[in-house]
Amino acid sequence: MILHSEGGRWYIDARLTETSDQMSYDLTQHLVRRAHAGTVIVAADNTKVFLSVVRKRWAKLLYEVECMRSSTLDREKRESLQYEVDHMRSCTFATKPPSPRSQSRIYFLTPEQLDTTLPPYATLYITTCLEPSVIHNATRPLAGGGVIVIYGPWVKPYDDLLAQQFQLA
Amino acid sequence: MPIPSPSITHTPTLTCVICHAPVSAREATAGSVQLDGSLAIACTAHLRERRTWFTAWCAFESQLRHKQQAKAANVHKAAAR
Repeated sequence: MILHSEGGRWYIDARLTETSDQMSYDLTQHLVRRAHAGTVIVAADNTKVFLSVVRKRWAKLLYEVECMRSSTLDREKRESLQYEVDHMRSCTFATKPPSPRSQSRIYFLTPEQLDTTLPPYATLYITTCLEPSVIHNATRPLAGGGVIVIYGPWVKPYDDLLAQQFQLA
Repeated sequence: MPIPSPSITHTPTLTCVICHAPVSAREATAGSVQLDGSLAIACTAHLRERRTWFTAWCAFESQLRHKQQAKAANVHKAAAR
């Protein structure tokens, strides 16, 4: 479900999945698209475990996209799928907060790590419950037209803070 | 899912970039970025069809790249004149 107010800064994509397995599956497929838009931040509790799950899914997806490319004779389709393969291969992941020297495009951060100064980014995935102050701090560098993807039930901090962020200054 | 704050409204009209059909905000999901910088949107149902999800988005983004290249070429031509 997409939520967006007229003239609002961001889009919110609220997604409900039943299991963590479904969530990692859904997130990985969606992540491939949003990685095209710029830097991605994924807020998770156990970032190392979650990253290893997403990486495995990513590798499987990459193999499937390669198979799709190999199975088509359409030149344009092959080229577009090759571009996707190259893009997926070039994406790098990290569980450490972004620094001026880091080259990663996708960051898996804990709520504590989100409470630091972040560089501008395009997409925030929220897979765990965050405190209002953490959401406020984490969404400050989110670019205009950026996307916040929320997994799980809608809780009060999202309602209060994100509603404020939607209003134009 | 509990209904979010009334101050947050659904985007009025959305078109899926995969099937080009109108899609309600409830059934939509965010994708990549359009040529004008706006968000490209697709039906959530396509996310469950892995093959469609990848081939259609790849075709869409390939078209965007071609349009961008054509636009850049036109700018270059205009500057040369």
